[in-house]
Amino acid sequence: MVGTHSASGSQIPQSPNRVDPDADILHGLARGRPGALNQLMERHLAAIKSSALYMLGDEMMAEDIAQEVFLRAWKQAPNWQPGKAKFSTWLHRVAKNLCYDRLRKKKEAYTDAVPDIVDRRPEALQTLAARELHSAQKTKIEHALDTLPERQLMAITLCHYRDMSQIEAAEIMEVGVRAYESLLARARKNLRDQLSRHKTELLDE
Amino acid sequence: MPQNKTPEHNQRKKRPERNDMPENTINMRRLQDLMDTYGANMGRWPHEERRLARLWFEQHPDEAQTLFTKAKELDQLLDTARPPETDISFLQARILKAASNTPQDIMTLSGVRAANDDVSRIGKTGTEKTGTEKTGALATWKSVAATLIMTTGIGIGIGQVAAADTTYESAEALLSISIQNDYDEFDLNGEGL
Repeated sequence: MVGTHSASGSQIPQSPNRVDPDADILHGLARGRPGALNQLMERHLAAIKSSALYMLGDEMMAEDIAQEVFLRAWKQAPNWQPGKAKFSTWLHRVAKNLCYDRLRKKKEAYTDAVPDIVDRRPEALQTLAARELHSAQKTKIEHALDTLPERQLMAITLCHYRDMSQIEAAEIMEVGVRAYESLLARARKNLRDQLSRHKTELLDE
Repeated sequence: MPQNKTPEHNQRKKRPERNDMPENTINMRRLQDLMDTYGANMGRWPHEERRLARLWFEQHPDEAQTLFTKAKELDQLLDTARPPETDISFLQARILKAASNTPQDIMTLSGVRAANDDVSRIGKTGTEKTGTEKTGALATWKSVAATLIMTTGIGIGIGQVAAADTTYESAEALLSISIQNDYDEFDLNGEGL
């Protein structure tokens, strides 16, 4: 039965528009039932992993992020009480924050890998060469997406790749709908500006 | 004392917002704005504007074609970066295994009650067991600690979390509490949005 429970255990009726579709699953998850975690993953794991993959461009990292999201859901489910946001919104927010962290570390690591003083040890040269090879192999689109600020990248991911509504995407990003639209418009403009000189080449491929 | 807006602010070019137009109308400028923001796929547009947009397109097919063609170009390019769907069954199994070794946190009274329901169902929790029973043993110890925390008020608990560091871990804990208790963001850190 879908519903919410107060601390005293009595059921609180919710308005139809605010019933969390995962309410029953959360009930089981709060009681430590692995079957409930499995059900939650069947509903949301693909979407979470997919969003992380679009943000990070690396499948292993995306899987690590997805695992972390669901382990946190498992750990904190006993504390969950239905409120304004759906549980799935919370899942996506956690994934978003973990992705932002990884993106920042990725940029720091890339910066660190290009030393001011050339390190001529074989292993260092191998790393630099591998990065250059990887960079050359990436598509121009991925390059353009990589250069977007993380919030613009998240906005594009949620809209174009996840087909999320404005309201849901804005909730995940913890901004108002207008701010979300502004991020999305700026992201698309930045991509158009970067890609315009490669447009003919890409569309002819 | 409220600040008066500067002349520069008032003269700033405004984007065509939905609220600037009369009800049940849409114009080309707004449609261009929607294309620039969401792309050519109207399924991604704000729901309330799709019907009006369709009506306008039916009445202005040539202009519509121009708008769509330009927006579709970027959509097609973005689609080329879409990675293929992969099988997640292995990842799912990996997460289940990791969860079996991860105890659940219990911070609130409802969590304590849920844990105590499990404990009373399982029985004596002195022995070390795996899975739910292990969670139950942990819950008993934590239920006492959680009750003590709850008697001093959840606000102090939040203050303690907020006074810690600013990593995403603590921010996530705050967010979790705020969603549960319908706090708005202003309450969490004392600053405006």
